[in-house]
Amino acid sequence: MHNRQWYFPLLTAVLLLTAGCEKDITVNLPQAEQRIVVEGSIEPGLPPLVLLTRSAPFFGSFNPNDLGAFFVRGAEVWINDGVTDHPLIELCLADLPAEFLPLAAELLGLELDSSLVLPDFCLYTTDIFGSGLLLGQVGIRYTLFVVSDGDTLRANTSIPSPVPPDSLWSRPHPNPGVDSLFRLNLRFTDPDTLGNYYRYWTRRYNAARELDEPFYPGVGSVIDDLFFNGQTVEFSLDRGQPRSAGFDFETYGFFWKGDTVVLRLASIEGPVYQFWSSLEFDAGSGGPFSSATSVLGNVEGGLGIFAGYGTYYDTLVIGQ
Amino acid sequence: MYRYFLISLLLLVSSQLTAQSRYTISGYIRDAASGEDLIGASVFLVDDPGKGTVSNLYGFYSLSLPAGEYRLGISYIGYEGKVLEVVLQEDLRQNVTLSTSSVMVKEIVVTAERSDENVQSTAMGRTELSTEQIKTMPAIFGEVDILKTLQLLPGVQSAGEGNSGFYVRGGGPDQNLILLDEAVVYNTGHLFGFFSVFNSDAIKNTTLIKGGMPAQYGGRLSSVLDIAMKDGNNQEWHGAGGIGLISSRLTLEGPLVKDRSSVMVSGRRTYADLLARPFIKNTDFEGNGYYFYDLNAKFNYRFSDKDRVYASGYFGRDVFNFISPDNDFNANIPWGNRTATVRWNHLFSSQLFSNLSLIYNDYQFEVGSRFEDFQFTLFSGVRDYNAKLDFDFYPGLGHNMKWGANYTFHRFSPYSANASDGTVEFATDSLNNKFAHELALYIQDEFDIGSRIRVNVGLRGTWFQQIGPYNQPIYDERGIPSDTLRYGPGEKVKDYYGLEPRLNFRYVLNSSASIKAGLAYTNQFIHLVTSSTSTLPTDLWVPSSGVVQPQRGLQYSVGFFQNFLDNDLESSVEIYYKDLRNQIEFGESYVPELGRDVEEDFVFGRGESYGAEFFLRKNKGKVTGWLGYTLSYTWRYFDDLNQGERFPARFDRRHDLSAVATWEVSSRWTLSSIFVYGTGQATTVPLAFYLIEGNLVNEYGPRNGYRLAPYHRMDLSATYSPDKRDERPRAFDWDLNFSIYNVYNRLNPFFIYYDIDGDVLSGDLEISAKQVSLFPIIPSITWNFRF
Repeated sequence: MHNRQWYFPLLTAVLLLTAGCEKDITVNLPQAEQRIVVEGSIEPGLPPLVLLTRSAPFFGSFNPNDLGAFFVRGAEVWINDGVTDHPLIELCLADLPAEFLPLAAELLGLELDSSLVLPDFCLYTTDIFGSGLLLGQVGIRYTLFVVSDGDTLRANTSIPSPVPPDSLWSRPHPNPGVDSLFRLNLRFTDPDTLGNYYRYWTRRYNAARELDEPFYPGVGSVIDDLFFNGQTVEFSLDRGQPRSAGFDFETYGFFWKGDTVVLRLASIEGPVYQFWSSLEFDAGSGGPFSSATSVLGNVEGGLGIFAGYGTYYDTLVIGQ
Repeated sequence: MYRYFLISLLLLVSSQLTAQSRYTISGYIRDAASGEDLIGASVFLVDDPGKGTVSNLYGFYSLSLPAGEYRLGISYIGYEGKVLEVVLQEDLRQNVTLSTSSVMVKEIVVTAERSDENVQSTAMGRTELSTEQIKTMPAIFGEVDILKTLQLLPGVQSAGEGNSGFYVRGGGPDQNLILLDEAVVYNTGHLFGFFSVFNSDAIKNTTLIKGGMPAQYGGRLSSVLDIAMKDGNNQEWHGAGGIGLISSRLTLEGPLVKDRSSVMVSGRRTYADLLARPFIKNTDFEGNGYYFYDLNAKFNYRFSDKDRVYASGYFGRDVFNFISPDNDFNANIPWGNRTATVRWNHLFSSQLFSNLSLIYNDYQFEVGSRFEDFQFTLFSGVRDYNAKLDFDFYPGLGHNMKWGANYTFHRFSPYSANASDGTVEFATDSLNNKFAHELALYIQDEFDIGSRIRVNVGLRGTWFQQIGPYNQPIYDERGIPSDTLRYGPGEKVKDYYGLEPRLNFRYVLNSSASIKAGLAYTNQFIHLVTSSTSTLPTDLWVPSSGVVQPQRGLQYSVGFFQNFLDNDLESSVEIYYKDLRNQIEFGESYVPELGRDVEEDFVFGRGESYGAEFFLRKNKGKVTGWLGYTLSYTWRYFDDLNQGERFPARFDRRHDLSAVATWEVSSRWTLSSIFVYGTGQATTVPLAFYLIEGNLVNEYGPRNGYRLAPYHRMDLSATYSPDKRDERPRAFDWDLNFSIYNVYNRLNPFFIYYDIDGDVLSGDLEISAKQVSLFPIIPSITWNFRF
């Protein structure tokens, strides 16, 4: 998950060269067609969560701070599990049971507290109040259908088997003088078939520090097993952080002593890997030496991803 | 079709061979002061200037004429022409030395009687530039750069602000064959392409062929840039050098045995890192540095007028070091080229010249990096072993032939990576190296048909074979490697053949005007594919293989050439159309992944390019220079890109204008000026965004569908030399060059990006578009000296 770090010195050189020669410009862009964006997930034992939003033009009359304008309301949404169509209902934040709030916040990439004040946030999920309850199961292929304002979208995914880590531990900073920072280390055994893909998130809480984060994915959150197929391997996992957080050489990737860390490690399918891999690559690039990387979703008729996550959760107190 | 072509070729050749008995005058044309061979000097009949020849790459000429008395003119740009009275009753060996013109801006003056080579030759889209000519022009940071000067010619486009990379007539950067003393140079840029690897002090001559490529060249679709290093002065020892803002240069040359053997050594190094070191001490940047250097060396020995050997080499490196303040992260990134050429010229007879070359060249890029306990090394490169045999045959006046063979063994190492993270070791060595044979045989014949028509016809046959050892992954329907096909050392993996007809035709309208036409079919078996908008040291060369087909190109061109004012003014209009097949790009969602063969991420399509080039050049007088304008269209058609719709290549440039002027104000001062204007670069920008996990994700618009602002710039320079009116040779000579790059401080776009502040969920999102410019107005001063 480190394989792009050699770009940093090159980028630094470019930044040094280009510093100070920058100005605001007006770009005259053709009007972009608004498209429906799916952000859907399903994992074992949990109901599917599907957030439907719209793409928005970068420049124009659209007010990007009008959050309500992003959400697609009143869509007809259902999931087929190979046997039955399971209709999904639209639930807004106020309707959600408390146990779903952390998952909903994570979909939005929000700290829990702030999401509670957003009245417009609605998502689609199984009818938790009704009888047609749909909970994710490993090995099942799910097809998502969305019909809204004449658009029909379709995406499918399955939940691969989770791969539990062999062990999880924290390792002191390589510099003995820094005793508060630790790396999160993981040993796990990859199944003996090529084409296994993984995504991970970390969540931290520590009452003493008044810290209670949602799950954040790593900056490079996905990896495939091309290098370690069938092997038992050890990794350091960088701390997950909001994408807007900066890159601090001193603390990047480290965890603080005493924090409780929950690792969420998911087996994913190839298309889900490609989606996150291309999204993270595009987000991390820019400037004269990069190119436009189109994010490769799995949604026919729209943008985004419908992802099955074969999740496994593990918890560790750092430095103990 | 090829059979008819060959038969016609043979008939034409044999008809020329049956000519009446003749005598041959032949020899070498050299600089009187230094003994350097003069490449491309004209040798012609003064009483019939349309008849003649030019000296070859080694200064050799040969003219076969019926017995008689002749006045033979010899001319070369920047030199005093000579007229020889010749009584030809037997074969004659006549070496000729020419002296540089005494006028101060001597480099641009042609003083010989014949200076209409542009009208008379069959060559189209061919330009020769002498290093002296290039040195009078303004240069950024005072660094004289051959490649940047070439970008001022019509049909040649810069790869970007300050970039020495270039595109020719809508072809990609890998479609230029760049030769330094016949060795291929794979990466011509220092510092991400801002400076070229060619140290002008070590370079004698630069020839660019952008259309109608003769059969002696091949392996690339768009152009040939043939750069000859200086041989070294074989008369007396001299040195030259320069001290500039960012680099210094020193060249030494002299005879080992006078008239027989000489040596030249030239070096250049940047010193920004050395200058910066005291200032960044105890700051966050301490320990960081970047520098590059070049070394050129050449030796030659003349055994007799029939045999001469040359050995030359180039070694250049860029080195980038980075150490984070707390030493948690460091990187060391060296990259560069090496070439070595050994050549043996042999004269079988006064009409048959041969050259055998043995050439080695490589390009390497390396990264060594450590981030805490994560170690990472990466290597990529290409290495060639090359043998080349060429013959020049001069059977009669207005008739010369060339034939030869060229064999290359390639080794490609696309991204061999080794990494360790804790106990995990990654190694991709076994996946990567690829090997290939490449062989070409060619014959070309240039002859006159009557007094108005001259034809240059050629045929090049090529063979390319990828061989083992090679492990070819077999992918299943999900794109996952499921099996491996193993090839042993030397075992054929895939081969390709090509026959490449070439034709150049000239029809003289009158003594100062001609019409020319050219056709060139070319194959390219090795490819450079870049995912970025610029050429980078990380770019990879890959061979044709089972997945990657050879690129193929067909170019048609037609031109009208007219000289005015007794050849003082040259003008030309050339129109071209190019059809490019098997063009290669990365897929739209390409993400580099170590351990995965890049060719799996390629998509293939077609290219098309057409345009018109207008050129007006003034060669004589106090004011010299040129004006070039190109109107061009460059399109790409890929099923897998831009939803299958046609899109402009990133180097599509509708209008491209260059004006270059040099004014010899006095015997002390010379002023130069450059103005360039180009349509903005085509780029892909996001039109819309969407939210995933609360973060903005780009939704890109049409590929290369947005144009950056137009590029334009003016540079000025003034060169001061001590008064030379007395024309005495001096033991120590110097000049001072003052340059101003981007005089009116135009903020040309380097790239644009969207600056995103705040976020949607907090309700404070602000998006603005920013344009980053690279070089504002930059004055510089360079002191050059010669002794």
